[in-house]
Amino acid sequence: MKKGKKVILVLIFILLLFACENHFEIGEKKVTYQNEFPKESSPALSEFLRSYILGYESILLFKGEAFIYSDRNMNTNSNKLTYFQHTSSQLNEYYDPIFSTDHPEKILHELFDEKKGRLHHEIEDEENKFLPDVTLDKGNVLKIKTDQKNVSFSIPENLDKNLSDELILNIESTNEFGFILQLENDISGEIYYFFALNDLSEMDIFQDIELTSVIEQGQLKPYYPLLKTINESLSVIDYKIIDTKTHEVFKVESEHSFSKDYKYIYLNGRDNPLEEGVQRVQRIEDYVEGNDQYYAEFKLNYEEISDELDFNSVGIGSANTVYFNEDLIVIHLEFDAAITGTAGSTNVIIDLQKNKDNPIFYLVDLGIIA
Amino acid sequence: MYRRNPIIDQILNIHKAQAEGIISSTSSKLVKKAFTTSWSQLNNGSIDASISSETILFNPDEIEVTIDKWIKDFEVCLEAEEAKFKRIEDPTFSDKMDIINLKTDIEQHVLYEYRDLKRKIGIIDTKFANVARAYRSPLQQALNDITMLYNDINNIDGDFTGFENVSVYVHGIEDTGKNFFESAVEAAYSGDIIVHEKRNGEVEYFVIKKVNGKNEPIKIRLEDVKIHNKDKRLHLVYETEYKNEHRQKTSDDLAEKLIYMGLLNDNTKIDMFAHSYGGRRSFQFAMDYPDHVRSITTIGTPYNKNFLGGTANTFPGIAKDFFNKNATEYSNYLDFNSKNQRNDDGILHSNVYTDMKSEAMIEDIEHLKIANPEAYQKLEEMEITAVAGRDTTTHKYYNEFKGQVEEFVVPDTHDGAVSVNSQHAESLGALINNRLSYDVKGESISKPAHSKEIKNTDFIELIRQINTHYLE
Repeated sequence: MKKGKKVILVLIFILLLFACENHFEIGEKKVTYQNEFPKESSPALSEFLRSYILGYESILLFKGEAFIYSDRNMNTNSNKLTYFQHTSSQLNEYYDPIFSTDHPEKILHELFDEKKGRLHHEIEDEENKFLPDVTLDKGNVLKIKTDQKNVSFSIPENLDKNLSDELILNIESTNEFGFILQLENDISGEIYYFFALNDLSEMDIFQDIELTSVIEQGQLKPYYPLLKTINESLSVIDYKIIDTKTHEVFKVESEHSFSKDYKYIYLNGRDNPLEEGVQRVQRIEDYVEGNDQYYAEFKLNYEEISDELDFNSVGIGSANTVYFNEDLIVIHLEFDAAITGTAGSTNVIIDLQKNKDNPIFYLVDLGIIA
Repeated sequence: MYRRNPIIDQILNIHKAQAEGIISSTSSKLVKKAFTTSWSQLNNGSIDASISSETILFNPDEIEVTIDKWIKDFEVCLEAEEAKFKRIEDPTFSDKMDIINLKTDIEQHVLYEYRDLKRKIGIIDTKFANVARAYRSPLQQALNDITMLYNDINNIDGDFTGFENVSVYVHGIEDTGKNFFESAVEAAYSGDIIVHEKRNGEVEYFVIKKVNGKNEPIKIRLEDVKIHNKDKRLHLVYETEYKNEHRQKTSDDLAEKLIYMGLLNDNTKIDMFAHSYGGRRSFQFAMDYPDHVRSITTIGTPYNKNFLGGTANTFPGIAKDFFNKNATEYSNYLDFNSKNQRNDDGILHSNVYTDMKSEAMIEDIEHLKIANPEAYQKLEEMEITAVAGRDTTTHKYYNEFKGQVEEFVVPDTHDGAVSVNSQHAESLGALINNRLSYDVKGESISKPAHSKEIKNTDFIELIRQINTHYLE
């Protein structure tokens, strides 16, 4: 009997030891949850706020002391490119109230709706150097004025594209070498890219579905300097990564998420629900190489988050990425209640700035679901 | 024998005059009854006040403030009399008895009666509120009809007037619109607009864009929607004001919202998609506004009375503690059907749980058939699809010919919350044009197929097909 008791005691001791070790292990990697919006701004958070507030309606063209945008045309009634700018201090001042409120979701909603009066400032002529003056008239006649040349021509007649419907005119990018326009058929949804060098000596138009073959045949080479650059050999357009030395095209699979600056890939970041466990972010270079180098690796644990927020949940219902850029990911989580309905929802701001493998998780419902 | 201190009667007489004033100005028989019964208990003669006006002006807060003042009058009186007593150097037995009697009369009789009077006023308030709740819906419906007519005559447009194809998504009990938002995004076409009407009153607008092979909702401002191509479809993901509100309240509120948006007109056709109890809500809306609804598609909808919902209504404590369900949620609506009501602390109200316990959808449909055959005929002309989600059970058996264990999947007769029969609305007979069944894999009892139906790929494909069908 005494021997039996000893065995039981030893077993209990071993179990406790294992339990302590597990706890210790978890303790070592314990995730930092903060049930609030960050108390102060940071470069990555500022970029998130800028991106969210300015939104789809503003096409960012230049980023520096001043941020220069084109106002996105949403229909064919607006046939001209218009530009505006704001400085970083104007932006900081604009979003500052979000750090001193108990209702960041309300403030964010207002900041999104009221930006036009506060962040849209006129661009002076001297700052206008690389911003082409473009109008798309009836019959798809393009009128372009750069600092070097003026032209006016019909796209169907001069560029051999059968475009009969009216198109929505927007700019994709611009720099000292030239610019790329995006033309969208409002009825069919077809998208065309118009490439032009600044002196207008070379111009071409391709439909988005043609791009891969056009690139592989080297036809886009004159316009490579106009593309968004990832590094000296990789550029990107239309979610396609181009090796500008070999004209090779790498397609990013639709389940992966591109960072806003196109330099990173959040693997399976477009899945819904995002799978729990280890999350991986890769540099584009590593993604293209197909290696297993990761820029960031961190764990997502829905049960822990649900517990942190005191949700009476039976599991995750919806988990999707709503923002992804260098050093900051924002996701939306909706937890299921038993049988039917919701147990609660939150946004999670995953701040990778200090530690890419063990980021800070800010749990705050900003009302951002997409 | 006790003789009441005349000071009490003096004060009561003053209060009685004020009470008569209250009764006359209120013109409520209930209020008069409350005061007269109290005064008969106070032994201060009878109240003499007539009710002449036909309009009841009942302000319970004001009456309670007056009664509080009366209570204060007696407290001050008692305090003064006690102070006077203490100043008597050598009080006689009679002096002592007088103060004891006064104290007893005031504290245990008068103040007790006044406090009871306040309680009676509270009960009257609840009764008036219950009646007001019952008539709020017919009034709101009338107001909606008047607004619609006024807008029509005066050519008043809303911000969304011009969209001719509108999908409205209505969620079920204990839910928000977020799951439907995701399914609507997936089933939409590039250029479509999604309006997300949130429970907190905020409204968000999105345009659908194809991004790297998948639909993405891109947030835009109302100003951008106003100038958007209105040949595209508009999807309204509607969140109810209260998550467990009765279908009639949803119908009234949704109509108000659609009128405000400029979408309840001759040119706009609405296709409704709904999950769970949202199906009953959509049906109610279609019954109330049959000229505007083109189709209804439901999944997981309890068209019959529902056992789980009914049980939660009967045992709200258990539903709350064990399943996190709020069966007593007050949603400011009271149904005329006394069976379709709850009484929580005197407050009568109706919600999804009372509805699922007491009424099958067929009952209202039968009423409609008799009361408004024209509306019923329009309901018959609508394309109505009742989809049943059903859980599945996987069985394993040993295949002797192949020499291996094999599996076969058998669909269940329910989705974990609602039977297939109820979801198919078999009781509604030929009113339902299509009855479909989709296998939806649930996870255990707590997360059955019912909770996964909105995001079921077959259901999303069905939404897409209906959206496409009516664009052609």
